[in-house]
Amino acid sequence: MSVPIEAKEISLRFGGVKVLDRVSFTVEPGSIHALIGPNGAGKSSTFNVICGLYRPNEGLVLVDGQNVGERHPYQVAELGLGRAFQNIALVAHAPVVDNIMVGRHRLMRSGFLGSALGLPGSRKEEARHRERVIEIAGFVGLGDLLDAPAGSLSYGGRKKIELARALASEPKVLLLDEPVAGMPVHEKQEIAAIVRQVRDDLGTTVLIVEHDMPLIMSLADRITVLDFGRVIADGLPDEIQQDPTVIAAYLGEEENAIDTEVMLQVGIEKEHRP
Amino acid sequence: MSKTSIPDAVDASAVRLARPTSVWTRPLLIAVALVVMAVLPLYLDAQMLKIGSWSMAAAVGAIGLTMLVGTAGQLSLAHAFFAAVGAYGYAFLAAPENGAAWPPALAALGGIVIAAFAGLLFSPVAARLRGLYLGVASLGLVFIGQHLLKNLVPVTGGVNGRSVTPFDIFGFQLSGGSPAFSVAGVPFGAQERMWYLALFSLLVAIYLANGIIKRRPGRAFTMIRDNQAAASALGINVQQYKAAAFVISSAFAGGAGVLTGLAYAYLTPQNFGLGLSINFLAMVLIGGLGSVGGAVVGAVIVTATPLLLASFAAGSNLLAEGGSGGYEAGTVSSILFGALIVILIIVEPGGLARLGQRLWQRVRGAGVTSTKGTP
Amino acid sequence: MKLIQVIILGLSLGAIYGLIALSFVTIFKGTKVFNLAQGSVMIVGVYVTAQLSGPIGFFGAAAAGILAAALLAAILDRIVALAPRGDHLVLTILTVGLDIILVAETSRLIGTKFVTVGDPWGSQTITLLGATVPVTRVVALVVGLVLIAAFFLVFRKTRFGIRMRASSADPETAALMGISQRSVSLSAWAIGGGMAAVAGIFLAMFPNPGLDSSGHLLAFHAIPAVIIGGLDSSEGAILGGLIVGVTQTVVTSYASSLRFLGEGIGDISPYILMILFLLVRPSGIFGTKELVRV
Repeated sequence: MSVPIEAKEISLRFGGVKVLDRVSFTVEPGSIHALIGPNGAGKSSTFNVICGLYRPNEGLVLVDGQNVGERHPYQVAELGLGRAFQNIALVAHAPVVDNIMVGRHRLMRSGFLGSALGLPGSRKEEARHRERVIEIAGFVGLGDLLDAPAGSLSYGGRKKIELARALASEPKVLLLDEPVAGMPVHEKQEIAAIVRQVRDDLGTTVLIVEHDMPLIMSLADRITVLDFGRVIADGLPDEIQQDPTVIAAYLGEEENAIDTEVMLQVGIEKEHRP
Repeated sequence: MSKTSIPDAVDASAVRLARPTSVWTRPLLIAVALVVMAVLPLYLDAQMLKIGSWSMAAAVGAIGLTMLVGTAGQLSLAHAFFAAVGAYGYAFLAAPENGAAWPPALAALGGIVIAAFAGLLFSPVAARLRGLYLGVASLGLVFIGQHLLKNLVPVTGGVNGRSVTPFDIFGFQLSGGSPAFSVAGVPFGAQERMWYLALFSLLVAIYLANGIIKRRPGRAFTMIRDNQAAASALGINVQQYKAAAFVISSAFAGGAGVLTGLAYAYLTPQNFGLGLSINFLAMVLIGGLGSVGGAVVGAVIVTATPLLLASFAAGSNLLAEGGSGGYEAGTVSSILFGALIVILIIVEPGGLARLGQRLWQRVRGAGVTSTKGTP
Repeated sequence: MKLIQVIILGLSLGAIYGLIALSFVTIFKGTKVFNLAQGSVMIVGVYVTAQLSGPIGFFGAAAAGILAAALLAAILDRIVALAPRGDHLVLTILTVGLDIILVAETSRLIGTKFVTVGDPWGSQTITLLGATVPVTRVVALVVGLVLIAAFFLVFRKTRFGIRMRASSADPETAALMGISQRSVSLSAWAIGGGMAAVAGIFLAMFPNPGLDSSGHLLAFHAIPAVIIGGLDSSEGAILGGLIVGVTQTVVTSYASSLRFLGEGIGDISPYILMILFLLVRPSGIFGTKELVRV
């Protein structure tokens, strides 16, 4: 059985800038795998390569054993990849329920003719999927807000819509790009619990990018660390926490050693770009 | 990232929902509107009926354009071209001499299909271009269209134009006056019948467009408009949908063209120049991008205003005569529309539809009690 | 027509189109808005020139016309700036609204007349390399090339030009470095308006009878140049302009043998070329290719 995601020696250049440099890692099925690193390390670019938005200059990505390289993003989505975006990509003026319904697109069959004519098959399909969306919305805590315009929700609320939409596509692999950024602690715990539930009950594999260290340490089964577009560490949370290269990457070698473990637990990272 | 401006973050508990209205309110309003529309021909004179038919014909086109520009986010200035294809397509197919002599109903469908096919031919270009880029490039189609209309003389009659065979079903004319027929003492001539033909077509157009917009295709279009990359990553075949949006809007434009041809009974290339494309865009903007109801309202406003102004000012000295170089009805109308577009975009880009929505919500007591930051 | 004649005429028309195309691109690069009212700005510049050229002579009038167009463009920019930022599609539709107003007013003023600018060269011709060409077109070619060279010099070498390019490439960072988006915007539009006016003034000269109330559509004939060159490339605009000018002139000169393609095939040949280009290379010769696949 093939692994959900396998990245092999991915390199990506924009003009003269090397954004990713021979990045390789494997995501095991049914696991929560975290991708961490300082700002600008290449995490979002990695996501974009995996889902097919960027074509890597070298290397390849296998999703469920299939080479993503020549495929359009919608074809990669059809392989069972779902994605929640870092910069919220919602339709602000549309109600929450419609935003989540977009996630059902690849699971539905209604075409232009069926929809335009309002054929019974189309209507029934619409109703069926709408029910499922209402369930998913309840699952993430948006049950009361289905008809509100997506733009009227708080930042945390909109992040939840993003997550719900990604879940709505019933993916085998879920890409979460900073799903809890900007949320208060109790909401972060809620989301973390949902992610765990998705892994445990649905068997979904999760690849998550996040900056919240304590959250990652408690949530992730395995962690890959990027810095300057390169993989500098890959292993279990405990190993990563102790790894001197990781600590140096986050804090900068010039800094005096403060109790780094405390620093990591508090989740402080320093921007160390020139 | 969503392009429409997002209001300040609101605590969900502060969103006050409307007083519940009866589930019968909307259907009742629609029924009333339909009855009014059905009965009006008994009371309006020929000039007003013409304005009505022309407005409804334009509305069919505006609905197609609002789906393309408003829902799918693809600007197009080629709408006039596809209207021309539909109009001249029908005229040629229905003509008993110098034409294919098809039954008018079939010819009308044929005109729409040809317009859709023309859209299909251009769709590979449409699919690859970003919304704005497409708008700029689509100008070319209008000019090419003008060239074709002026030069394909056997089909189009060239610069002098050609007449349009009236629409009839088994001999009963729906855009002409024969056989003679009266309702409640009011003779139902060409204008009255054209009104019903246009009304029927408009209702069909509204039904189909609503079906598309509120279901899966419409949601895909809206996603494409706001964020193409995200749409693709969510499993939407962006190129296919952009092409489809273009073909569908071309079909609606073709329908508008057929109706306009029937209403005018004569076609000339000047009717289908850049001015018509810009008029369609004005209708869609004024009504509200993406709103079917708005497109209809916009169509009525843009079509009727110059004509009503002209007849209103005919007797008085308020406006100058046509061609005099003064402020005539056409000039004043254009300035009004241009100003309306500018003001709406600055103040309420959602157009009249959004303004209407806000007014309706205020009447029902809905709204937001306070704006708070993220808790 | 002899080949050399066609080439010179084509290049001079190309220089004119290049100026208009450059004006579109400058505004687009400065503000990401495609100014569909550019044709009307051009007409206003020509009209002012025409009105003043009797009283104060051609050159003064032309200067006034160019300034008037630049000023009008700057005003349009400030109106566009009033609208909510972000959705460039809607902002472009806003320029359509502005164009509707301007076209209505200029059509009213021009009526059925032809607007001529009273230039000193009239219908004189000159013989160059064995070909007889109108003096107006030679002047157009020279002026066009000089302006284009000046444009590139200003934008590459002066501080002003570098600030404009920086803001165009990354408005936020440029703003942080003290480059006001507002002044960049105003400058881009004013320069664009002025360049379009220069082109318009030449278009109103011999061998054209002048500009009539549909003259604003002439600016749109430069759009194939913009598309072929690449919507965001200044070099592309020039090259596109030259390609379009030469194509149109060549096709028109062979019009008698191409009669089967219809009367006026030369005038729409740029658009056909544009569509062919869009099928093969949508981003244009020098345009930025989209990196993100959809």
